Amino acid sequence: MSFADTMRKNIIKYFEAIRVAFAVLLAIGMIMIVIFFVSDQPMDVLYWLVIGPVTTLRRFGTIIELLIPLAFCGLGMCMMFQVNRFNLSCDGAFFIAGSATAILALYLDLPPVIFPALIIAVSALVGGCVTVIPAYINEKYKAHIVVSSIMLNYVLLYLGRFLLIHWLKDPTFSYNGTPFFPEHALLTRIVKGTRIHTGIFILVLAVILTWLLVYKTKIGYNMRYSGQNAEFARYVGIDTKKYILSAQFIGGMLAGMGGAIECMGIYQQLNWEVHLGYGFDGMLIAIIAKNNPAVVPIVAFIISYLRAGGDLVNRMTDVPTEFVSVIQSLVVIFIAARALLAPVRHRLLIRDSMAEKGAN
Amino acid sequence: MFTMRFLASLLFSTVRLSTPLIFSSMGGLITRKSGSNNIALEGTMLISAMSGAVCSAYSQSLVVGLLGAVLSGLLISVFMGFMSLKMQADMTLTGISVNRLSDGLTIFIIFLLVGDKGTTIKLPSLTFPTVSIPVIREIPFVGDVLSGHNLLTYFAFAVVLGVWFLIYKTPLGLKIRAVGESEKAAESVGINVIGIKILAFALTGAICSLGGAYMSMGYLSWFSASMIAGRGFIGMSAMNLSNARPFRTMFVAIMFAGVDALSMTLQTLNLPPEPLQMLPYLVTIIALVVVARHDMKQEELKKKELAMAKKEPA
Amino acid sequence: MTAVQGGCEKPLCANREDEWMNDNVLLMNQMTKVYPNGFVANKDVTLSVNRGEIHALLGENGAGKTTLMKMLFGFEKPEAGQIFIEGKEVKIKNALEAIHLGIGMVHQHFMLVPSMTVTENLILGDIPKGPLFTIDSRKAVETCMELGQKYNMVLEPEKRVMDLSVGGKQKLEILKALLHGARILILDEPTAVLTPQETGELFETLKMLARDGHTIIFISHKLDEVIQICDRYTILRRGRVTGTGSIESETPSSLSAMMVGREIDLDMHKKPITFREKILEVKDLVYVNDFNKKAVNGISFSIRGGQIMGIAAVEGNGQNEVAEIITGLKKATAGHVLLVGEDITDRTIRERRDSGVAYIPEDRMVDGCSASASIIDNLVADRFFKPEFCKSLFVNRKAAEEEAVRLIEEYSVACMDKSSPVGSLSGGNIQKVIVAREFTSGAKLVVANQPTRGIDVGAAEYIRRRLVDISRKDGVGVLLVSADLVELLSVSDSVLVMVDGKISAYFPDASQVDEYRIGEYMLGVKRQSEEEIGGAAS
Repeated sequence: MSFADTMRKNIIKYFEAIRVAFAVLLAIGMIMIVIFFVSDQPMDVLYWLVIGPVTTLRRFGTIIELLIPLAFCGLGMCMMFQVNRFNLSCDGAFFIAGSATAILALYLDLPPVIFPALIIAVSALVGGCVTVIPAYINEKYKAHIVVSSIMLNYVLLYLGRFLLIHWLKDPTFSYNGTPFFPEHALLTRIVKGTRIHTGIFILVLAVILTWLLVYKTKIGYNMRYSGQNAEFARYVGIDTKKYILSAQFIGGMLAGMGGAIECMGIYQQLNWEVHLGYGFDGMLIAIIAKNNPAVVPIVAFIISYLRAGGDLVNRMTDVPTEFVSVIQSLVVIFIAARALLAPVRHRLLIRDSMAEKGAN
Repeated sequence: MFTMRFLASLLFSTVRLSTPLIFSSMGGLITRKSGSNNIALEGTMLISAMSGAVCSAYSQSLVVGLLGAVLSGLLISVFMGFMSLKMQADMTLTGISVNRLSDGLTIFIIFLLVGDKGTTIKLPSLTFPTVSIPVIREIPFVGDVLSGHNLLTYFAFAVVLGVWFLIYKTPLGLKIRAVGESEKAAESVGINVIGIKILAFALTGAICSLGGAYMSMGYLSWFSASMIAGRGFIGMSAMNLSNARPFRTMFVAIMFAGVDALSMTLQTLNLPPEPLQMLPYLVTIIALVVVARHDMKQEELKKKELAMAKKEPA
Repeated sequence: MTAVQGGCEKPLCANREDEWMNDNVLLMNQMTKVYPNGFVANKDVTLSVNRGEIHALLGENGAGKTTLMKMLFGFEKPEAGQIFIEGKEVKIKNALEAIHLGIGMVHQHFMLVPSMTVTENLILGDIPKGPLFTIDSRKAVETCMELGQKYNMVLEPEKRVMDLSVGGKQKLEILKALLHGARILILDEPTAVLTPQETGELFETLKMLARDGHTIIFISHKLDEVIQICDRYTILRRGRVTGTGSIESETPSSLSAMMVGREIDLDMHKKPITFREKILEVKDLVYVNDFNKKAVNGISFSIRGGQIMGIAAVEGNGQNEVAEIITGLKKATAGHVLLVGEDITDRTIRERRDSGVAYIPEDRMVDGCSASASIIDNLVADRFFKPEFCKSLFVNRKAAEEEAVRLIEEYSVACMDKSSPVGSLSGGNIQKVIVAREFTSGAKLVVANQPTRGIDVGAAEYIRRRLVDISRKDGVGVLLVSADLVELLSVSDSVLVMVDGKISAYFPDASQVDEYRIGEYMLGVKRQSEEEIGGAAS
């Protein structure tokens, strides 16, 4: 076999990875071209986006801080995608978990460690319960899950705001925010000069448990069968509805955990008046990670890096941070586009099969 | 409180608020008839709302504003159609991403233009005129409800008729329906299936963009970042709930608009606004469930009747 | 017979004296098609067809006939090769271009819009325009009527396609092609869905069209039909041409030798039956489908251990529903299903499987397997949760893999890597994966719905043998639903015929009937007395 043949075989083997990289570069490239036209300081944009996040410890800390909620939403979306459902209520679950956290943190008092643990557990349950609403009406009544989950996000948004403004709010503040939570209800900051907190350990635990659940347990097998081909799963005797619902419940729980941890670790009070918008990033992360929980933190790091860079660009240059979400949306579309580079792969395959025929 | 004046103003708001819903639902209807599931109506409306306001402000011409809105809506919709049909990206995923893209892109553009991420209130953008209908405005109550709306509101109702005609009476409509029901049948007689589907996306984009234009050049006189607020999705639900029949869709859209109007009107009273703001979305979810349940029950009932009827004579 | 090795030889037409018969209308020269998954569907295939002849394109399922025709019709893009129509080289990029060149195709699965009328379907490709962008519906109906009369195939213009019979739909498909001026008419396995009687009618039409100067390409693997109606043939095997020539000098066995490379043995050499206790009892089964039609209307029969019961029926007469109700995929509207005396009508699929029901479903890609999942996952899908494959909550992957390897070997599934997705296998091997899983689940009853449809002859023969084995050796009761009457009669011990959701005939001994007699009952021309039918339930 010649060198060219080996190369070709490798390209075919890693074609998916090459395609994803191409999609990412294509999206970034497209937006960079636009920025070169509209910005007065395009080189600065590039500098702050690529190098900026690692210039100081504080900035690097931002990446890790952001990684935690993103990874939780990513894990959540992995669960939704395991059963092949576009349940987009991670945003809502994350948001309403914040309200639950604030209520518990302000109106309950327990010893340290147990207190935040209980808050996270209850918030996770709340997140799971709201996520299962669109999931249930989708299974039972075939209501469009994208529409109902987005409608639910609006409902939860106004519910959370209602709770905040008419109940939890500290009237002495000039903004809508609850009092700061008591010290022993918080997640401890662990790196000086950053806001990185113990939530990162909970994330590690969540990643391991989710991975075990999905790939090693009977429950995970049942869920994956149901997601890959529900007709087939039903035919081999799996109660598909049960597993499709419970996967989404767990997905919502993970998003809810993310909300509680973000609230207790970073904000230390509740002052959210709009969705934080981590749901879409979660979806992007799950797609790039191919729904594998073990890969989620790595992808979350990349996305978080991009977002941290975007924020720096926003502060240091004349370009707003929203260009990052444009890049992200394009990345999703380009990765999803199966026909992208398909002709290249087709040609490689043909040459490969010809080469093999020739060798025989 | 429930005087005739109150009722008239409530109904007036209903008609006013039905405008964006009718446009979005009629747009969604065309793609659905062609067999695609376009969930990017929301993003399409948002982009055209932005470009309508911006184009009209810089050109000081309504026509240019409208053209800008329609063209941008058409482009983003065709982009979605192209990526999902020609490039084979999952359509749901593409739709979600296009919505997100529109969120980011609109803010990106208005920040570059006016230095504000929230609204374009600083821009001197134009609005479409309101129309006072000669005879009808004289009729008490009816005049108060039906006359004095924005030009685009009246146009929305014309669009319903236009969409019905297009789908059921024209050769293009027949092709769109054929493609939607059986791609292979259409392909076998030489219809360019993907072409027709992308054309449907273009039509959808154009119609939805009118809803967007109405929001920033009629309903309000500026663009704000979250101004569509789920109306694309609610319009889409109205269309799905009425099984993509044009006139039924219109009525369901008006009903959703009624809920919206009620919520808006009650907010002027001294009530906490959040539960009222929640109302349109909650009602949409409930409507999805109720209608689906009704359909299911109906089916089951029919089945049982049939089984019984056949059993008796034997 | 001339065996063509790759190259393009001048076809033999020695038996035809008429000059116009030698007039070549279509030449597909050295066509090659490779699919994205690397499968070489056609390799240097040459097809030459003369004007006014009925040309048979023969080959097993998966031999590449359909691919070749798809390239001709612009649905697939060839990697190499040229197409000549009446001597001129053409490039066909899409169906529209093919239609303009006078090529018409009648697909195996009808390409009609079910909710639209006959007229609407007919005019879809060329819609007559009235004033104000409207459709000229009067002209449309006229076109429909005229065309029908011209070719002696009159259909009601306003009737919806979903209300047409299968034969009616096929007529509409032929008319559609003729309306667009087709001179070359391709029929892809046209008789597969027809009853013997409808087939006769179709052949008359085809002969008339050929006399009229139309050229017909007849794709089939039913050799007796081919000999009955065709003038010349081209045979494909594994994507290559293995023979072409005049039909007159051939016999079914010489043709089949070229198709499969060996004689097919349809005799199952079954051992005599030793019926055991009743395995399955079906009592007064009723099923109302989504369109509120009684798809199954009061059916009763029983199967004993060691018995193979076949169901013969034209597609859509309730046979699928019966299979799916017994296996639990559909819920009976009324009636009972008993397994070894126990009522399982209201049990879940899992409970039925646990008590010994196995199912080879009709649509293997939808129900039978999960295409994106690995071969291992597909093989253990019905048992990974059982104690022998689990350590408490966790699945013992090693045990599962060993089980998969055992099944792959026992059922000789040809695969490179047991972790690759099932979707990458050939149809025959996918079906073997399904059979391996279902036959090793400890079943008392196997329901096999179209177990060999669309797979290669070798795998089909293997699966038929396994089916007979499992009934004879293990005493399993088998319910076989098959559209292939030859298969049905050779495998089954007893045969039921279904029409409109009812049993119209019961033959306790399948060796005493032939296809033609079964056909009469399938069509509803004849019907047995209640007493004879009642024999099925005893």
